[in-house]
Formats: sequence, C-alpha cells, structure tokens
Amino acid sequence: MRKILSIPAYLWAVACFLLVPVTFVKNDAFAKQLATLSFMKVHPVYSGGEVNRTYEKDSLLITVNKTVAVTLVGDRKQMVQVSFSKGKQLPGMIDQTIDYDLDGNSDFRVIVNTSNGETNLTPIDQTVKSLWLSSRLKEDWVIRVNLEK
Amino acid sequence: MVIIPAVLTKSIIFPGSIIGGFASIASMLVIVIGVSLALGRGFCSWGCFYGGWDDGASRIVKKPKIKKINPVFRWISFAVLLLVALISAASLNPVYCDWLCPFKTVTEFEKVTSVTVLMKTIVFLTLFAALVIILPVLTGKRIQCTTLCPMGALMALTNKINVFDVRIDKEKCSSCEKCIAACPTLSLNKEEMAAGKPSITCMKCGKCIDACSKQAIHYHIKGTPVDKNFSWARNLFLYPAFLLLVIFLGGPMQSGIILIINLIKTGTLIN
Ligand code: SF4
Ligand code: SF4
Repeated sequence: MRKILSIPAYLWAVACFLLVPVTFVKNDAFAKQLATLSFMKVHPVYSGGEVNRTYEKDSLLITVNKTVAVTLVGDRKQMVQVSFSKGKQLPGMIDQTIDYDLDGNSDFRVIVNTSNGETNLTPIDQTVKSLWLSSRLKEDWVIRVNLEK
Repeated sequence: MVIIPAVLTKSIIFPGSIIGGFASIASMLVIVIGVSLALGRGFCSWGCFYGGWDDGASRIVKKPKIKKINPVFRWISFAVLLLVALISAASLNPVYCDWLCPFKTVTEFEKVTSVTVLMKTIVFLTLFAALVIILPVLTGKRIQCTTLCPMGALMALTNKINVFDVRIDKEKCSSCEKCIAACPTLSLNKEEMAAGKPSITCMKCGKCIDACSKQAIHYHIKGTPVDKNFSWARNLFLYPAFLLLVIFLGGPMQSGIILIINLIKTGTLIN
C-alpha cells in the first residue's frame, strides 16, 4: 500500500523537472491566460483611471480622466489625471484651465514648463487641493491633482 | 502581498503592466506559481538573486561572532507579510517596495527631491547595511531572508503545494547539532529535530545535509518512506533546482559579464 502511494509522489517529483522549463518557455501563454482573470487589472491609482473626456484646445490634445478614490474605504480623497499631447513635440509651456468634473466651470489652472518639469497649480474649485505628480510620459505630459470632496 | 490587496480591491496595487513589457505582473505570478509547484521555498536558495546577496555575506566569515540567535526571529517575516499586505490594501500603496525593500540599494531608488524620499532612502540603505551585510557577516545566517523578506514568507506558505522537503532520520541522528549551527534560516532547533523535519521556513539549501557526518538528514519526497531512496529524492530535487538556477539566473549573469567586459574595454557601463 505504501509503495502504491509512493508512485504518484515520485511521478509528481519527476514532473517538477519539466515544470521548471515549462514555466519559463510557456510564460507568455500562461501569463495571457492569467491576465483574463477578473482581478488582474492595475488599480486605477496606478493606471490613472478611465478617460472621461478628450478635447483639443490651443492645438493641444487634452485628456481628462475620471476621478479615482485614493483610499480603500470611502471616496473623500480622490485624484484626477489629466494628460496633454501634441504629436511628437510638446510645447515648451503648457498653460491650461481644466474643468475636471465637466460641470462647465474651470476647477484649476496648471502651468507646466516642459523643459524642466516646473509645475504650478492654482486651485479654483475648493475640491482641488494640491499637485500630486507632474511628469513626461513618452510623448505626453501627465499631471495628477489631489482632490478632497 | 498581492492576494489580500487583490481580494479587497479587485485589482493589483502595483505600478506595472499586467502583460507585456519587462517583468509584467502576470509573468511574475506565473513564475511564482510554477516555482512554488516545482521547488516550493527552494526558490529562495536556488533562484532568488536578492537572496544571493544575503547568502554571500553570510559566507564571508567562517567563524561567526554571534552564535546564538533565538529562532523566534524567523517568524517576523510572516508578520511583515501580513502587515505589508494589509497596509498596502488600506493605503493603495505597495508599502514594502515603496518603504522597506533593502534591495532598492542595489537596484534603483528615487532621486532625493523631498524629505519623504530622503527618509525612504535612509530606510533602504540602513536595512541593506544591517540585514544584508553586517548581521549576516556577524551571524553567518541569512538575516534579511529570515527576518524581513515577505516574499520568502509567502513562498514558505505556498511551499505546501510542493512535493519536496527535508527530513531527519532520528535513528541515525547522533544529536551533534551541526545541522542546527549550519542552517542559515534558523529552521532547525531541538523541537524540529525531535519532530524529524525543519520548520516551514526551510529553503532547501542543503547546508544541513552537507554538515551532517551521519547522513541523518536528507532531501525527501512527500508521501514516500522517510528512511529509503535518499539519492532518488536528492537527484529529483537537485535537477529542477539547478535548472531553475540556469534558466532564471543565466540571462542576468550573462548580461552582468557583458557589462563588466564593456567596463574594462571602454571605461563605461553604458553600451
Ligand atoms: S533546514 Fe537545512 S535545507 Fe532547510 S534552510 Fe536550514 S540548512 Fe537549508
Ligand atoms: S548534523 Fe546530523 S547527526 Fe548531527 S544533529 Fe543534525 S541530523 Fe543529527
């Protein structure tokens, strides 16, 4: 009986020898399968959230994302990501007022010097608190703004 | 580190891509699952390039200055794992990578532009100096792997799905305790010797096996007799272990050698 029970154990041990190369050689295929699982998406705090609105102004393509809650519980603290693009060449200065909640009123003004990254945020709406991040992302310039509702 | 936040937020809390690009999250998870199935926590001694730092430092001094360490320290990494998972989920921030990882010292860390980044940098450097260099040199143990690394703690838990373990043949054991002294992860003490197997923190490095002159301690395949076929178990474990070493670390080692040759030839590390 003990001998019979040992057989699957030895077979499993032999399979481990194959499992190591299979894990690496078939990594892409397995990873694609894994990526279909429902929780396999990057949290919007890192992805920047879904696009809310894209429009053109001063020959800049401006993308305003949906607001994202930045804590697990509650949605008082949020952030919004806005990106600016202009083909391959960003302008030296970006100076825009943004209506992040699409209520027809400007919520903040942002001035970015794209050559040195210096960024100035002026809140207009009281929900706008501070600048979280301002950075070049490939050919776009991305800012994230902290909000408190 | 991923599971608790993923259950609570239904998403991955990490700045990276799910698929494609360098070290995507899905690829890393496939490697963790595959290696857990094949070697369990053996990953820490046969595949982890970070563990290699700790291991290297622990081998520098032949006769360590600090000989007695309370094995209770080996459970700290499990507490770190739990805390990191919960705080990461609550703050939506990969806390370990952002605040604690000593290996930021030898990989990458943010340019110091604020007091917060300065504090993080001090934490990374201090933990690296203390846990990866100074304490391993003084104790001869893998202190970072044993007391801090949440990845190691996770692999110790997923080790349950692996078929290999280490066993002690109590008939042959002379209680000399050479294996206890040799174990770099505090996985063996008198209670474990009496139970005939190391604690779940064992990373199957084989140091205790080399240390035992009575051949009383050996690799074992779960579900098979403890007192027979040692060489089968040894070979069946060591082949995939070496294979992991070659496949996982062969590429980085090759790149490292090319970088060193470039540095000697051109005086720069940049291609
Ligand atoms: S018990 Fe043996 S195999 Fe396990 S970590 Fe300690 S020395 Fe290595
Ligand atoms: S080294 Fe071997 S003989 Fe000595 S205590 Fe460990 S298992 Fe027993």
